[in-house]
Amino acid sequence: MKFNLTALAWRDIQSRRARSWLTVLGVLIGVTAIVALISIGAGVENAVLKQYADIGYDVVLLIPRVGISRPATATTQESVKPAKTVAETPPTESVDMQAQTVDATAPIPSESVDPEFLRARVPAIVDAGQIGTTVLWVTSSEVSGFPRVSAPSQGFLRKFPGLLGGYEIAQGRGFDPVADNEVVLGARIATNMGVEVGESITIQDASFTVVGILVPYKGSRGAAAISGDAGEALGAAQSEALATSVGGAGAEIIRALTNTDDTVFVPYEQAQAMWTDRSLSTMVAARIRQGVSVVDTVAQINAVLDAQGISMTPISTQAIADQVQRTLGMVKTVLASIAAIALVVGAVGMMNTMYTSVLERTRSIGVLKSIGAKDRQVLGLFLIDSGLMGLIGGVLGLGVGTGLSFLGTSFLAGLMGVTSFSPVFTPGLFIGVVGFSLLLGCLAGAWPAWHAARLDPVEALASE
Amino acid sequence: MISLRNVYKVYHRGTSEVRAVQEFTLDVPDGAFAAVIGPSGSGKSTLLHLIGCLDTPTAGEIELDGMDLSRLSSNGRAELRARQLGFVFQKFNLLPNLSAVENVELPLLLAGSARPDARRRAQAALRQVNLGDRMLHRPAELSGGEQQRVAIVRALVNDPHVILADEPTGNLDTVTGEQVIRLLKELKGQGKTAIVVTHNLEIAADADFVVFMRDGRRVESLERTSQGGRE
Repeated sequence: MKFNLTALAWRDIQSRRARSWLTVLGVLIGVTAIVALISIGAGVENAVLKQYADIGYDVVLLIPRVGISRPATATTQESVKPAKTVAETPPTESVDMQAQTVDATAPIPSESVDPEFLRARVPAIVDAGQIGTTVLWVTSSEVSGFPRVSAPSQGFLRKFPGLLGGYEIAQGRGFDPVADNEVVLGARIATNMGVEVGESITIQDASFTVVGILVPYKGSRGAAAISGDAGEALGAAQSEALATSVGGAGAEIIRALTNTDDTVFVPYEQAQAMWTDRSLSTMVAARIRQGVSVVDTVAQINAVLDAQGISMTPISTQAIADQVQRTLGMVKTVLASIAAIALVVGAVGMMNTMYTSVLERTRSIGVLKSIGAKDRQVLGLFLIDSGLMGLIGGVLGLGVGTGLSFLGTSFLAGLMGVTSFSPVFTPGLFIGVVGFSLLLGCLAGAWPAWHAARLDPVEALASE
Repeated sequence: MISLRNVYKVYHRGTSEVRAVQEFTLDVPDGAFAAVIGPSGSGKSTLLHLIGCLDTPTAGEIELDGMDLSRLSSNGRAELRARQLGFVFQKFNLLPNLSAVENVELPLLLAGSARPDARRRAQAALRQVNLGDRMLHRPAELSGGEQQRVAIVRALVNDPHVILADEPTGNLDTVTGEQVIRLLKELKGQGKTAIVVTHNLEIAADADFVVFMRDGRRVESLERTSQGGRE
């Protein structure tokens, strides 16, 4: 068709400039909201999932059940880790538990399972390590407080550094496996306590030498602090989270573990020996052999735990990531739906504008028809008119939404203490948003355009 | 040749029936200049709309060069309007958002001409009516006479066989009306068939046919004899 409808439609848009821009503004707001919410949502999802990718999707965490007991089903005597609660376990018993036995006829929920025992019973596990966590009274020459104290075993440190945010030493060194009373501090707690490598701090009543300080964590900000008030600690978070949902608990535990900035690290064996009365909560991490089903392995672990009457719940990082992704997906859907409502409102505004335009231009439509315009050309003219406004709104909304996304992520990053967090834009988002805006414009203009195309030329010419 | 055979156009307004055109029969030979005269409401404009394919008759037949217009589809009628018919209205009916030259090139574009060709022809046509310096002006920036000249150029630019004019001088003062009359009279020399609804006796005086209408009927007609008189 040589008749250029687009040029004519553009003239019409320009002829009612103020109204056209207000109509475009309606679409722009909707598109801006959609672009900003989707890109920020994808950014959050990426940032969260990266944490799990760093840890690896082949890791299973065995988390102690707090306040939940599980009857033992084993009938054989097995060599396991402590067969009693922490409070009942004297410090001296915690070092060598291989001699401990479980009486299957008198099921008492066990606190934890020995990683080596687990590896032996579940062949799909290639690595395993344990970490204890608690909250203790820590004092430096300047301040004191209740920070989180983590006690990873050497195996845990070697095989699962991702669970400790990389556990990268910035100053000094890591623990000496044979030395006593050594600590490694998170970056911020070291600053807050005013201590450096080689200086001493007191944990409970014992003096420890700071042998290393970690690189600041690049993920989310830590909650616990040494500034005097007892902050949120892993043990507490664990209890609360476990009481609610397993997936949520897993996510919370991983968040607390990986965030090392406010954590004091001591070797597992020493923590076991010194603070069993402080409810040292022990978790076990296990890495599953490549190519083996995570779900099947978790089931095997569960069977072993059940058989031994050990009160722990295995959660795979994959399951936690899936849960997080599902939750984020739901949040994103809700937010996008709200934004879509804004866009629909914009479309209704456009329909109103187009219908008004048809009424105002009835005589012109009659003239067009009198000089040979076909119904489909009149229809096309109005569809292009509304489509153009949708397209302009979409493109501008994309620009504004992109800018807003960066502003929004900066704001959120500041709020959450996240350093590596940026919105995610995909070609699909750009193409989808612009295409959808064009389609929405055409849809909004469809009825007015159809009305215009169906106008009787004589009646149209007679209108004032 | 335009032929109307016992044409009726009936409108229904609620329960009442309005016979805008009835029992109307007329033959307008090719190249003829016909004037339609009658009081307001006599059905003149309706007759023009029927001949111009803007409306369809309730009954009867209208033929253009042997083609029954009532059998044409909506698209077919639009095609005919684009290629073979040219309209001139009392209220000019130029598109307000377009310049004079854009208004004139519009029928060419609708008929399928390429834009450069359409623009060139539109400019040439406007220069012929001394509007060469007003081409880029919008209708609101033109006088009534200039607007009507643009409208006439728009009607003629596609070189249609038939020109239909509805009170072309009705909204013009005497001086500008005369300019328009002069343009219409020139059509006679170009072999085009013209049907002009008018109250202007000067136009009627020059017509080959003068048809008088009342209450939708053809009540009388005068035809110029070969000697220039009327019978």
